[in-house]
Amino acid sequence: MAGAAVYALAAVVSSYAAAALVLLLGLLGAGWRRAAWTGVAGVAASALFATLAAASGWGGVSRFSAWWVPGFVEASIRVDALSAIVGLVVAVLSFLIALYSVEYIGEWGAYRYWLFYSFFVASMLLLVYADDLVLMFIGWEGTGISSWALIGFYYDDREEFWVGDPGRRALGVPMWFTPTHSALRAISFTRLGDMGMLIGMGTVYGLVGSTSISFLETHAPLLGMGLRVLGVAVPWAVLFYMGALAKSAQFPFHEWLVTAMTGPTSVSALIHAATMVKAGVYFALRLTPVVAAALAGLGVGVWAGLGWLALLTAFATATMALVARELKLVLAYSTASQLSYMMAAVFAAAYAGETGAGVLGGLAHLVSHAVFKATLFLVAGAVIHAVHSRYMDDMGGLRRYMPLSFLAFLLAGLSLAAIPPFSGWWSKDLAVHAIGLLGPRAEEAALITAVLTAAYTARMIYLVFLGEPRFHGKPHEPGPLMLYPYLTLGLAALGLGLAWPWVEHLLEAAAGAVAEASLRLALLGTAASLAGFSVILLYLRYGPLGPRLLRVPGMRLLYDFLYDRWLVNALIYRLVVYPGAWLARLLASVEETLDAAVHGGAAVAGWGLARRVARAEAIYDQAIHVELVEAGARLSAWTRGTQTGDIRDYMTYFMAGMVLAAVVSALVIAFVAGGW
Amino acid sequence: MASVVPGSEEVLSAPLLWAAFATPLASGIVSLLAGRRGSAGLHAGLAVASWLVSLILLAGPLASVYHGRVVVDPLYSRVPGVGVFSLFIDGVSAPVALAVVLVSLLIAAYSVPYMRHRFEELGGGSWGLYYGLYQLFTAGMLGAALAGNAILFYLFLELTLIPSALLIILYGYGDRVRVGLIYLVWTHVGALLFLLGVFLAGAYDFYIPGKGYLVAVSESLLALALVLAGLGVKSAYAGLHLWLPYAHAEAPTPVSALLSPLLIGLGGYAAIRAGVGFFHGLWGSTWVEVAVFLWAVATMFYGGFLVLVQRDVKRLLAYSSVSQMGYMLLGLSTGNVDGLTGSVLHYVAHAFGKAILFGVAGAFIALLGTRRLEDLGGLLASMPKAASVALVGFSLLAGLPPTLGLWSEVYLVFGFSSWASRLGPGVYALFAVLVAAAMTLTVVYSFQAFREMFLGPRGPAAERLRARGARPEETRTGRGLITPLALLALLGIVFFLAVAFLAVPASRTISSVYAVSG
Repeated sequence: MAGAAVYALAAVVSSYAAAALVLLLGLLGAGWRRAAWTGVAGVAASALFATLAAASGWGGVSRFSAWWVPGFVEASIRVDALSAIVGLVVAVLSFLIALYSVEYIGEWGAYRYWLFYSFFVASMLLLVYADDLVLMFIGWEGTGISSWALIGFYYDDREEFWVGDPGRRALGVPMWFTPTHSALRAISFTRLGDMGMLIGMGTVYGLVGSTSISFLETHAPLLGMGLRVLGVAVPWAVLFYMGALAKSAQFPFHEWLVTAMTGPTSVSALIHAATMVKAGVYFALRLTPVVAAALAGLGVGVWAGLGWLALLTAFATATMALVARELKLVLAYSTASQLSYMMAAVFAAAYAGETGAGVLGGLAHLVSHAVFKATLFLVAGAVIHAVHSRYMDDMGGLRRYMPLSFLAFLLAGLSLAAIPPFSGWWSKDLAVHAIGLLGPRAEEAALITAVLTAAYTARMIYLVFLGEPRFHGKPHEPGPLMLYPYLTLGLAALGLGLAWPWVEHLLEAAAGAVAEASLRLALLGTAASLAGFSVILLYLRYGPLGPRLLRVPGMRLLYDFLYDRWLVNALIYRLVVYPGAWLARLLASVEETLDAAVHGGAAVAGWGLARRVARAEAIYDQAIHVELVEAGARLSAWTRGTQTGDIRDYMTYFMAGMVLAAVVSALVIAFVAGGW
Repeated sequence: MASVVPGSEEVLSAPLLWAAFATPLASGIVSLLAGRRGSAGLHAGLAVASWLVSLILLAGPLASVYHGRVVVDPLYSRVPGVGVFSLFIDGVSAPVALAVVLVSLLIAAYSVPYMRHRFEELGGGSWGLYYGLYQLFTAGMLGAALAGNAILFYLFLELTLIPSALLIILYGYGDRVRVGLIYLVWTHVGALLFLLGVFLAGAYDFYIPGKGYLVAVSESLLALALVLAGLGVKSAYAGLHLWLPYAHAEAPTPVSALLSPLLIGLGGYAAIRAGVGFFHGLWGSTWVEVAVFLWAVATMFYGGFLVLVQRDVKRLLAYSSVSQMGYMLLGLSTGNVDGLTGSVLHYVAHAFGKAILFGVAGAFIALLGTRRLEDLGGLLASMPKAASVALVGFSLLAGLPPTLGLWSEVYLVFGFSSWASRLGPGVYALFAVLVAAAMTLTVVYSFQAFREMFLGPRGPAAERLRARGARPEETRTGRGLITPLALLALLGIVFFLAVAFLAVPASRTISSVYAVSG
C-alpha cells in the first residue's frame, strides 16, 4: 500500500524540483518561455502523480515515512481518501491555472512567478499529504512565503494593480493598497495565526511525545488527559486553530485576503481562492476529529465560538460583496464567505459531536468551491485584461464580446449561487446541514447568507456581462491557452453537479460519514438562492440603480459601512498598527535617552571627572616635574654660592656643623637615656 | 553539590582541535608580520585556506560528535586553582564551532572587494594588518567555542576583543575611535562580570577530560546574576544592549557580519554551559525561568520595535540582532531539551542569516554608495541576486522555509510550549500571545525592511542605476561581494535539509547534561 504514498511524494518533489530548475534557469539567463514551461511541466508531473496516488490508493491508507530528524520529525506522507481528494483537486487546478498563466503572465517577472508558483504547488501538496504536524507546518509556511511573493508580484506598485479606491479613507485610515503593502499585510496577518498554531502543535508534542498525525489519531485520549491535567484545554484549542483561522480568512483575519487581490489574477484564482486559503479548512477537516475526541466535553464552548465566528465571517463578507465595485474584490469577499461555510460546518458538527457530518459538508464545499471559484477568477482575469479596468463600472454587456468566457462565468456563478443542479447547490446543502447542528439560529444565519450570496453573484454577472456596455474599445476572448482552462473548469462545475450522487460517495468515504438528505433544507436552500438571485436581477434590470437608492436616509451610511469593510481594517490600523508604530517611536526615544544618559551623561560625567583628575594631575605634575626640579636647582645654586674657596668660610661652616652635631647628639642622648 | 555527568568520551590521538584553532591564528600572525607586503588576494587566500584546513581538521571530530561522542583534544593541562584547560567538542559546541568556521571562511573572501572599496575611501590601508586582526579575532571565537573551561573561554573571548576593537577603530565608520572604545569598555566589563560570577560559583570546568561534564556547581543567585549579566552584555540583551548598535553599525561591514551573529551569540552559547549547566538547580526553579523568559521576550520586542524605526540599514540590522538574541534567550529560559536545542540551532541560523544581511548592506555601501533606506527601494530589477540572498537571509531570521531558521523556530516554540503549558491556563495563554506576537514582529520588520530595500517604486539609487543602465552585480566587485553571500544562503538551505546533523547531537547532549526538565 505504500505505492500511493510514493506517488504522492513524487507529486511533491516534482514541483520542488521545478522550482529549483526555474531558479537555475534564471541564473543561467535562459529564455523566459523555458522557465514558464519548466514550471508547467513540474506541475503537470505533480498532477499526474497526484492522480496516480488517488487512483492506486483508493479505499485504503498508504503511508511512506523516513526520519527527517531522528527521534523527532518524520518525513511521512499519507494518502487516504481525504488527502487523495484534496491533493488531486490542488494538483489538477494548479496544472490548469499554470497553463493559463503562461500567456497571462508572459515575460515580465516570469522567473520569479514560476519559481514561487512551483514552490507554492509543492508546499501545498506537502501540507495536504503530510502525516506529521511539523511537516505540515513546513508546507504551510512554504505556501505563506509563496503567497507573499505573488501578492506583491507587481513589486513596483503600479497603480493598475492596486486594490481599493485611491484617496478613500475610513476613520482616517487609507483604504487603498499597493501590491507590496498587501503582501506585507498577508504575511504578517497569517504569521500571527501560524505562531499560535505552532505553539499549539508544540503543546501536543509536549503531551504525547510525537508529531505524527496518525499517532495522534490513535492517541487522542492521551492528549485529552494531558490537557485536562494541565487545565489548558480551552486556550490550547484556540491557539491550535489560530493558524487555520488566519489562513482561511476568518474574522478579523479576512482582511489580508481582501487586499491580496493585488496579485496576478491567476494567483488569486489558485492561491487565494482554490487552494492555499483552503489550507485552514483542510487543517480543520484533518484534525477536528482528533481534537474533538481529545477535548470530549471540554470543547463545547470552543466549538460554538468558532462556529459562530465562521458564520459571522460568512455573513459579514457577503454583505461587503454586495456593494464592492471591483470585480476581484467581489470574488475575494465571496471566497472568505464560502470558506466560512466550510469552517462553520466543521465546527458546528464538532459541537454536536458528529464530526463526520462536518467533515463531509466542509470537504464537499471545499471541492466544489475550488472548481467554480477558480473559474470565476480566471474569467475575471481575462475580463479585466480585456477592458483595462478592475472596476465593474467599466464593464457590462460583455456577453456579446466574450461569449465563451460568459458561459464559463455563468456556469461557475450559478454554482456559487447554489442554483440546482450545479455542484455548489449540492455542497452547500451538505454544509448547511452540518451548520444546522449548531442550532436553528445558525441554520438561519447560513440561509440568510445564502440569499446574499446569490444576490451578489447575480449582481456581479449582471454588471459584467449583461446590461449595456460601459467600456471603450473592442474587447475580445483571450487566446486558447487562457480560454480553455477556465472553460474546462466551468464545465466541470456543471459536470460535478450532474455527477454529484457518484462524487458524494467518494466524499462520504473520505469523511467517514453518510450524507443525510433533508427535503426541508434542500427546499429552503433552493428558495434562498433563487430568491436572492432573481430579486437582485429584477432590481438591476428594472429598479432604480444605486445612486437613487443611496438618497434614502441612512442608506449612504450603511453603504459606506459595507464599502469600508465594516471598518474592520480601519479599526485594526487604529488599534494595532498605529499604536505599534507609536510604540516603536516611543521606544526609540527611550533608547535615545538611555544612550545619552550612558554614553552622554555617564560618559560626560566620566570626562568631567577625568578633567578634574587631569587638573590635579597637572598640579602634581607641576610640583614634581617643575617645582621640585626648580627647587633642586635653586638649592644647588645656593649650595654652589657657599663654595667660596675662602678657608675662613669653610671653618665657620665646620664650626656651625660641629655645634649642630653636638646639640643633636646631646638631645638624642638625653632622649634615649632620659627616656622622655 | 556539584555533580559530574560522564560523556561518551573520545580522546583524539592528535591535537586536532588545537590545530583547528591554531591554523587560522598562525595565518593571522603571518599576515601581521607581512604587513603591507603581499597583495589582497594573497592574504585573503591565506585566510580562506587556513579556515579550509580548520574545517578539514574538524571534520573527523564533528563526525564523532554526530555519533554521540564527546571529543577531547589530547593537549590539556590542569591549572592549579582554576580547573583543567582543555579543548573539547560536543553536540552543543559542534554547531557553534561549525558556524564560526564557515562564516569566517566566507566572510574572509567577501572582505577582499569590500575592504578594497574601504581602503580607497580611507586613502589606503594594510591588507596584512586587516587580515591579521581578522584572523586573531575569528580564531579567538573558534577557541571560545571549543573551550572546556570557563577561564579558558574568558581568555579566548578577550583574544577576540582587542583585534575586533582595533578593526572598528582602524577601518570603521563615523566616530569610529569613540565607537571602538564604547565597544571595548562595555564588552570588557561584560566579560569581567562573567568572570566574577564564575569565581563566585567556584567551579570552572565545562568538561573535565576523563570525568565528564561539571554541572550544578552553585546555588548562589548572585553568582548566576553576575554570569547572566556579563553574558547579557556580550549578547546585548535588552537593557545591556546600548553598545551594540554603535559597534555593529559602524564597524567595517565584514566585521559587522562577524560581530553581529557570531560573537554576540557566543554569550548565549556560554549561558548554556555556565548558566544552565553551572546553576542547574537554580535554573529548574520556575521563578528564574520566568524572569529569564520575560527578559527574553522584552529583548525580542525591544529590538524588534527599534528595527521598525531605523533609517540606516546597518543600524536596522544591529537592532535585529538584539531581537534575535532574545530568541536564544527564550530557548534558554525553557530549560528543556527542545528549547535549548532551539537556541543552539538559532545560533547557526542567525549566523548565516545575519552575515548574509550585513553582506547585502555592504553591497549597498560598496556598489551604491549609500546605506540609508531613503536612498533604496525598487532595487529588485537592478540587483536581483542581492535581493534573492537577502530574502534567504530574512527567512533565516524569520523562520521561513526552506531555511534552517524554520527548524530553530520549531524547536524554540516547541520548547516554549512544553514549558509554558505547565504554568496554568492563564499564564500559558498570556505567554503564548507574547511569544506569537514577538515572533510575528520579526516577520513584520524583516519583510518591511525587504520592501524598503528592494520593492516599491524606484528610489534614488535605483533611478541612478537605471539612468546609467548599470548592473552593479555584474561588476568584479559585485560578483566578489555576492558570491560568498550566495554560498551562505545555500548553506542556510542545506542545513534546513540536513538539520539532523546539527540537531540530533545537540539534543542528545542537552538531554543528558543540561536539560532541567523533560
